[in-house]
Amino acid sequence: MDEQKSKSSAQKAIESYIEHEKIVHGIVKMGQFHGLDVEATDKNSSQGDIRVAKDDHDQLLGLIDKTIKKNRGKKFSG
Amino acid sequence: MPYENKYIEVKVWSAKFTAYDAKKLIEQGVSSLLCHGRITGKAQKILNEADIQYRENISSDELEIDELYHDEKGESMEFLFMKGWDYGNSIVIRSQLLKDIVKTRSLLGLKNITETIPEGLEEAGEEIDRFDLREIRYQLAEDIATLLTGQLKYVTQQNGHHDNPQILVTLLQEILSEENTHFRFG
Repeated sequence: MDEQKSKSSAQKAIESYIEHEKIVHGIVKMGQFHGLDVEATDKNSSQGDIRVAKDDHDQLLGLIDKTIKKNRGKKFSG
Repeated sequence: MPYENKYIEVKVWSAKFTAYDAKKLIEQGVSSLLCHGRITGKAQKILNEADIQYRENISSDELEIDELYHDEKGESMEFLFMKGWDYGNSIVIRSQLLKDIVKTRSLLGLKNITETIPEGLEEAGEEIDRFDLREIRYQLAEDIATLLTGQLKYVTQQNGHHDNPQILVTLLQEILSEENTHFRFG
């Protein structure tokens, strides 16, 4: 039983890491596809995970909102 | 145009986001936050006051990802050390190194615990997930030291600059500090 709990905790940590990675890549890919100046950061001391041109920031957030809204709509409509 | 004038940085967070996390984010100078988990009410208030834009409960499957490309950029997680209910230092770890750390024997055997922030503290009543470092402090330190040896051999053989050994030394220092009792992932 203990072993099962331990495995699920480790799995949770790994899944959390994978989800983080997928979100970063998904957003960068989405932004670049729409011609925005956006990329993943690559320094361990970095402030953030995604670097975006100031002029493109609002557009990137708008794209995220639009995409999530569309995909949540799909999910609920089956 | 200087970098800082042309670009801003966005933080991606994979767990629940608390008031403490919000204060730390402001110190880091991040402009917006995309959170996989929930952002607590108090954290939202702090972010609003600091004019930081945020989105919560974002899931990767809602971002139209057709394929995952791996260039080792953007793969990161933050170790947040806690001294009881006070926060200590945090360390950002990226790429392959993180994969090696989460697969260590001591982390694979670690139990995640959900605890409620006690009365009298900021955000009392909120639940957070964290790991008890005290149970595995020296075993985890041993695993990190093994990884450090491997990284030092790699750097020596490649004869080049690499920051992984320094990150592992910093992590080791935090793990061995008896003031630190727990840690979270962010």
